[in-house]
Amino acid sequence: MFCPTDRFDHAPGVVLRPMPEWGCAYAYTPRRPALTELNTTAWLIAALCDGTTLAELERDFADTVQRVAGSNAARDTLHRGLALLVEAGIIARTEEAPR
Amino acid sequence: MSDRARTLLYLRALIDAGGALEEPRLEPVRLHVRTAGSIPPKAVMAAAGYIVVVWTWRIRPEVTRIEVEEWERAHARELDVAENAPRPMTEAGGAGITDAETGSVPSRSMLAYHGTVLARRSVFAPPGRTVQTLWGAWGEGRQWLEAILSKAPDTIAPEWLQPIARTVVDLRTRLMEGDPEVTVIDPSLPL
Amino acid sequence: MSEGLAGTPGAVGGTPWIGRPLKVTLCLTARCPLDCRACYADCGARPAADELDTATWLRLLDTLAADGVINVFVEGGEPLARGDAETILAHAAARMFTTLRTHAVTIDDATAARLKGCGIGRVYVDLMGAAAATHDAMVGTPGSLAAALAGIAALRRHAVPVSVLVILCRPNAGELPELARLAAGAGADELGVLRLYPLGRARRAWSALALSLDEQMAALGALAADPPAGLRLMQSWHPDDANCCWQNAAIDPWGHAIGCPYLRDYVDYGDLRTTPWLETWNHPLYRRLRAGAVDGHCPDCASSQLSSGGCRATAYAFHGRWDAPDPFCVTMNKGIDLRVLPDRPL
Repeated sequence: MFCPTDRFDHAPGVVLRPMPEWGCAYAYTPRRPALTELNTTAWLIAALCDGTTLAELERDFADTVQRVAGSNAARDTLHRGLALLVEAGIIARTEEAPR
Repeated sequence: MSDRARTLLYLRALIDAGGALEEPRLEPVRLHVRTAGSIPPKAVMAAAGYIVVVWTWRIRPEVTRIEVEEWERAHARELDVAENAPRPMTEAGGAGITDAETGSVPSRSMLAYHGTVLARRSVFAPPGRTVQTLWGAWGEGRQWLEAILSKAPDTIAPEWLQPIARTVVDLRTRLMEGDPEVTVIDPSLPL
Repeated sequence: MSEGLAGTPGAVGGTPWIGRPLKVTLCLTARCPLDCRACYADCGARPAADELDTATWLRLLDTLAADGVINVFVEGGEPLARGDAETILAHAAARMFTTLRTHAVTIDDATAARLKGCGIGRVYVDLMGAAAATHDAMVGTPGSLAAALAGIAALRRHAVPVSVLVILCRPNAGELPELARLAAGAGADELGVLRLYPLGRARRAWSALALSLDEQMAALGALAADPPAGLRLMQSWHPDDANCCWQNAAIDPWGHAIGCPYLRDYVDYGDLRTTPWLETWNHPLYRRLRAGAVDGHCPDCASSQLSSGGCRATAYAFHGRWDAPDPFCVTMNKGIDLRVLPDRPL
């Protein structure tokens, strides 16, 4: 579904409000006015989406969760979370321009 | 240290402390306060012997609130049958009840679902997964309620209770983690 | 009465701690074209000279957004009575989930389209009765119910989610089931029944408007007995009596932080024109109310509401103490007659 050179960032206008007191974050998506709660894992994925490529995301996510998940499980979890975040309009994917 | 670095450090520590990687989850923040259906006034409850049974339980980690709401709708639909239509409330001995304030005779189904009160009732609240499911019953409804909450569906009489009981089994097996804590609110008991 | 439920204040969840508020109510103005008998803010048609101007509201919204507010509820008076209301709403909606409370009497298709376009998440419309005679008398303006229903219809044509709100009081107590059907028929997906608070004109008209607690519960019971399909009911009486101070924030039309619109006559946490927003959040009384220490609570409400003791504004109004239990809960009422306000200066 995703390509290693795809880049991921917060969708335009999205506001991500961390809630460290509760271990979650809230996202406001103005284009489809809605508030969404992200659990810890979803929040981590969203926080890592900073114009990063999928390959970089996989590396950084696996590194962050290495004490609790192996790299294969981490990658699968990341992909599921990314799909959710993209579908919710919180994270946007841009494809790398072909060379 | 940048905000991003601080956030990632915090999340790493939080995940490490939890000991497991949770499945990513997004849930809508519902601005409405979900409310349990109305429980009758105290005086009416006392006169009719209306009990409220509360199950306090934890939602399984992989189950979303939306799934709980879908269960609620299915459960409430099963209760909406002719045998459980609202009828004028009576005391245990059969005498009618009149609401002291309005002078009217209250009508209620003998077996009622009063909703699943999510631990996160307010707009924003810590992500607790504990909820309370409330049922009410009076008259013969008290036996019906006991049956659907405690017996295997196929063993229950009358038969019209069986689909309701099956939704309760669905709640316990698919949505609930562990067993519920059960509380009975009985107006006949002293405060 | 109950056995087994945690009876210790805060035993289920406790009052959660929030470092910075997530949501805020903006009381944008005390202007209103109507003349409601139950008005808490003594609203009038004349603009108040000392209400915050546009630039100040926009700056405040920027500050709120920067400090973590992600949800704003804009009410008044009648917010749309301000000429700059849509500018303020659009500015808010670009930064946080924005909802609007209005009488809807001036909302036509063009207004509804603009509200939709600027990103409003939901509109809450006050209806004070199901019958035109009831509603129009309550808001002091003939033709208001018809105008409000037309406003709701315009909003629904533009797919703006609508909730109907009603302040429960003696004139409309018998009309709740009919109001629910009216709301559902108009396309609302929620009906919120609000308490009557002893503030402003409502306080002065208390003896004519107020219901006893039993009358209130009977009205709610009639409503909940047979709600229209697809209409959510919201109410904050037993067993849903929340002490929601722990998460609430509000700003009055003159820029003062007041915690909640229902505390408007009792508290002032600071003038936001001169005091930083988060400094007002940490005002000692504000922190005290958020801590949720209350003398007596309803175990049913506490276990479902993450808080103890119910509404602080009504507790204070009837008992004169911040740690008093809320007399609007059947368990905590202790024989208080809600039709009679205490004769005591506040």
